[in-house]
Amino acid sequence: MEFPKNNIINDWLHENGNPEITKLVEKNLAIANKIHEMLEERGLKAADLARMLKKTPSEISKWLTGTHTFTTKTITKIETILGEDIIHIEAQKEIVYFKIYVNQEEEIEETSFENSEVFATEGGLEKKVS
Amino acid sequence: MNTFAHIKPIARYNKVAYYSVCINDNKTSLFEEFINHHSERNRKKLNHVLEWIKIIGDKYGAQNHLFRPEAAIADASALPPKGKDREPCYTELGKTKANNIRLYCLRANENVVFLFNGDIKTTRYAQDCPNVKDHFTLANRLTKAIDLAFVEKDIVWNDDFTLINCTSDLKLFL
Repeated sequence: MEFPKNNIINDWLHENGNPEITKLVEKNLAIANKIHEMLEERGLKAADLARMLKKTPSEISKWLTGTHTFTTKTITKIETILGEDIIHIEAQKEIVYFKIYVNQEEEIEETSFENSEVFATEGGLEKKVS
Repeated sequence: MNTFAHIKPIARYNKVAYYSVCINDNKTSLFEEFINHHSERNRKKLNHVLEWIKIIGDKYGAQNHLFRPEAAIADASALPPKGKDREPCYTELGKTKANNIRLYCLRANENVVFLFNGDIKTTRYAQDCPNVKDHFTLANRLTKAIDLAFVEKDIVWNDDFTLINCTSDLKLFL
């Protein structure tokens, strides 16, 4: 059985999809999936989490389906009860470019990083030697 | 005249292959009818359901907890799922509203899902809702017919159970 070349789901979303809904569904599913994994790792069931959070089992089941829009308060409660973060906020990264001169007599201003001639790469520093 | 259905592949993602069925000699599948019908009337609700199908297909697979059993006689499910006593929600203009659109489907395993048709559910039980009653009944009949086709090996799995195969002229009698 051959699948059609055109994916009608992707085509519809490409033409009509709302990016806000995309992000919402992605996040709700990711959070639900993470909670589901955390419960499995601990040998817990939805009913156990319900008891720990003083919620009804049906409410927790709904959370795990990925259609519930979580508040940060609810997420924090679950994180506290299970002792693990669900959401990790990335620390702000600061990139500093160094300028390195070898055997250079000229005095270089300490803060003149803007006109960098040395770039950090994954393999290390790429030096321009004068 | 006997009603029958034939299987139509819809879309294949990393983790899920979606199929639908066409009734009698119709070339348009039930799932395509669902999209066509709701594109204008319930665009945001449809957007939510399609996005969900795509993400499940790409990232998570058709895990059991993501589907809500809604069967009268067989294994039919409905999208989107909900808790036992709560309606599924989606966000429209920042306000949480019940997403009462139903797409009936059959989750064959974590990799294969049949998508049928559905509509806006207006009552607690599908059997009581004038909108979804027929879709619900048809989904259950189709599910029973597909289950039987698996048992009789008219539909077969590939080696790693990620796809199905059948003859192009297979008729599922309802």
